[in-house]
Amino acid sequence: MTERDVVLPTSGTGARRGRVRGFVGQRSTPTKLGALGAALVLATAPFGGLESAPENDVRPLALGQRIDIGPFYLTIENVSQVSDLEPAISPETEGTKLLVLKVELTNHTDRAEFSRLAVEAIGGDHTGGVPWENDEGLKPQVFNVDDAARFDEYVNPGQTYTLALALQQDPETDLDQVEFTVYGYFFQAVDPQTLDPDRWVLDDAPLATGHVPVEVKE
Amino acid sequence: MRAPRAASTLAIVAALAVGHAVTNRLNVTGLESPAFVRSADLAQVAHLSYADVEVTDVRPAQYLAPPVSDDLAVKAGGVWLLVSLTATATREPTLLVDGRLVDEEGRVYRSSTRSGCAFVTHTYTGLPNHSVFCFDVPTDVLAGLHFVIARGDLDNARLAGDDLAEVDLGISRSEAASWARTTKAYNAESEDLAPIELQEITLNQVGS
Repeated sequence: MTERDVVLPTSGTGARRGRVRGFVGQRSTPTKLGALGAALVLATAPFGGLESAPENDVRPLALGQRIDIGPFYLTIENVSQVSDLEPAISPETEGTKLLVLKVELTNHTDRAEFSRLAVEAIGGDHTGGVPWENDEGLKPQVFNVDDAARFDEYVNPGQTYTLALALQQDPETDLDQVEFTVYGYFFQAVDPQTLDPDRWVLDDAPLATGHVPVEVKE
Repeated sequence: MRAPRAASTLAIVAALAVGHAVTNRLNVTGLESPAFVRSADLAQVAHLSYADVEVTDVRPAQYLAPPVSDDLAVKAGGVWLLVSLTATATREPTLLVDGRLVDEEGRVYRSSTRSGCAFVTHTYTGLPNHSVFCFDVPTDVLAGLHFVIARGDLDNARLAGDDLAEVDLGISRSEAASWARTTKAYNAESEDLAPIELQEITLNQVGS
């Protein structure tokens, strides 16, 4: 005789355990697995297991679309290919072009945030990028549209700037294939590994991606 | 044997839950410890344990001309606020790091690095040093702004028990309204042992 064969009509821990075992034993394997999964989810509840998963909807990128990347609202106003962007910057190699993204950013937080967060939130594919000869490589050179001066600093709360992000570009680049991707940040209040609190961390999942029209100017 | 095992498992889960709550909900690092604030008004000395500091002047501008004359003048996204400071170390030379502005809502504004103005100031024992901090701030936050500066790291609040100067810049609402519309331009200044006289310039001189 085994415990599974007999359910004793007595009270006490042993009897309850027997009833539970009997009840479980009569369930099908899929039911058992489902219950085990539910129990595991409940066990992770103290660690945030029941919190909603972040949405991961990647929107198609469009000009004029305001995107909340975390520290900033970011809007790509237009993209153009130009031969020169004087007095801000000129191509280093004769014959190369400049691919310029005109971007508006607004700090909507309550503390100053570094502008480079916005610049680094934008990625590109098939841009035909030609590396700068300085240490920046393929990174865009950034200028304030209002004064043509270089811009790489903290943006105070509530401040809005229109920036020009300039990439050096191979003139043979097929502009219909150029794509951009905008990523977002999540706020990390405590990082036990680096003890560097209250910082923005780039998310792997993009917020918006796609081709936008590139205007050719001479 | 199973009851003790289940109890042990529950105890471990409970301990992990408590640890998670402690590290995420409670301030276990002491980062929120407040600084020792020494308040002052414009043109009034704040006596810190390591330095005497005084905001001697505050004024608005739309443009700043950088120290290198070939560089382009920089335009404020909102309005430039030029804060002139005189600081003297009382015991030993000390670096005052990163002056900030704080508005009536508690928002913190950093000084600008593209302005060409000071972003730190050195102090020398018994010898006044003069510096100008330039802030690009929204035009609607000027009234009630306070300037704060200390020798510690303002970002990570490593100021517990140390002195911090907080100066009311005395900007009234009517002043703020007119300052928001300024079209003035100045030469950017950083720091100097000689008193700094801010030089107003006309736009055709900017960057020339």
